[in-house]
Amino acid sequence: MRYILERRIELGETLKVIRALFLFVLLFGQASCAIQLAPPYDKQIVDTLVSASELAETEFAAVRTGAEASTFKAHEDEYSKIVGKLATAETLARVRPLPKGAGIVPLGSVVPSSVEEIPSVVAIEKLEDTVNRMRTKHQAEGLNVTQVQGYKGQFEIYMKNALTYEKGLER
Amino acid sequence: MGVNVNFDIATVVSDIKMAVSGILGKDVSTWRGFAEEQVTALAKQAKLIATGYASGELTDDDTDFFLDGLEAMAENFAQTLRGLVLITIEKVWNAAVGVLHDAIRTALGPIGKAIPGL
Repeated sequence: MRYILERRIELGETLKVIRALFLFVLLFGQASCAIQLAPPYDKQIVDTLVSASELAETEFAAVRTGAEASTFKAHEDEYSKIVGKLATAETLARVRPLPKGAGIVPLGSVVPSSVEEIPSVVAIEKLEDTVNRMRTKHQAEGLNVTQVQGYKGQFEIYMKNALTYEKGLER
Repeated sequence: MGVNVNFDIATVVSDIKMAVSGILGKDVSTWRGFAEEQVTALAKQAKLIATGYASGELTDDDTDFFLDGLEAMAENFAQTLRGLVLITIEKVWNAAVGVLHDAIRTALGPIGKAIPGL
């Protein structure tokens, strides 16, 4: 009789543990336990940005001592290639699914809810603006050394923001 | 017959700590390096704008463009850092929940297989 009572108590405690574990699973399982606070990684975006960066750095090196407006024709294709690569990266980043969110985690307000809130998308837009402005100025007035350094510095800061974030998405 | 539930809280806590500290150690080091580089680059860009304007190498129009750029870059840098921190929080959370789920799956044995999402 005593043995049966002891076994019943043991079984009751075990069931309590199982019930607690079930409760945990229901709570976290239903709220989708895995959270997503950033978009998925896309290697093609990283590769396209790296390619744009290589082209741009080559162009910055080509005009590092400044360039007369008359030389623009010789550089026009290079500008087009850089802008083309950046536009491709932007399109890829814009068509990517947004993060699913945090479920029960109280982080909803900081999770990007539109592509405009993805920092790399903003950086890529600014990269395009920077190269387009440099191209327009080169064609219209030419570029001096300081102007080239200014465009180069701005390009590199935005590119590092974009690439660091995009590479960080590989998790 | 009692059901044997093998759930060692100390082991689970230790496993979570190990998973989380591995992620934090790597990410914080990477983000710190990125932040230091970008702050330095922003300072250099500010100096270039100031000296370029003072020397006349940069026109008023150029200076406006680069100053606006400096402000936008600082904002984008802050947004990028926030985005990187969110990625780390996501990794930490998912790693911790992953350890807990593994522990429950192990503890429940065949019963756990019947639970969706586990």
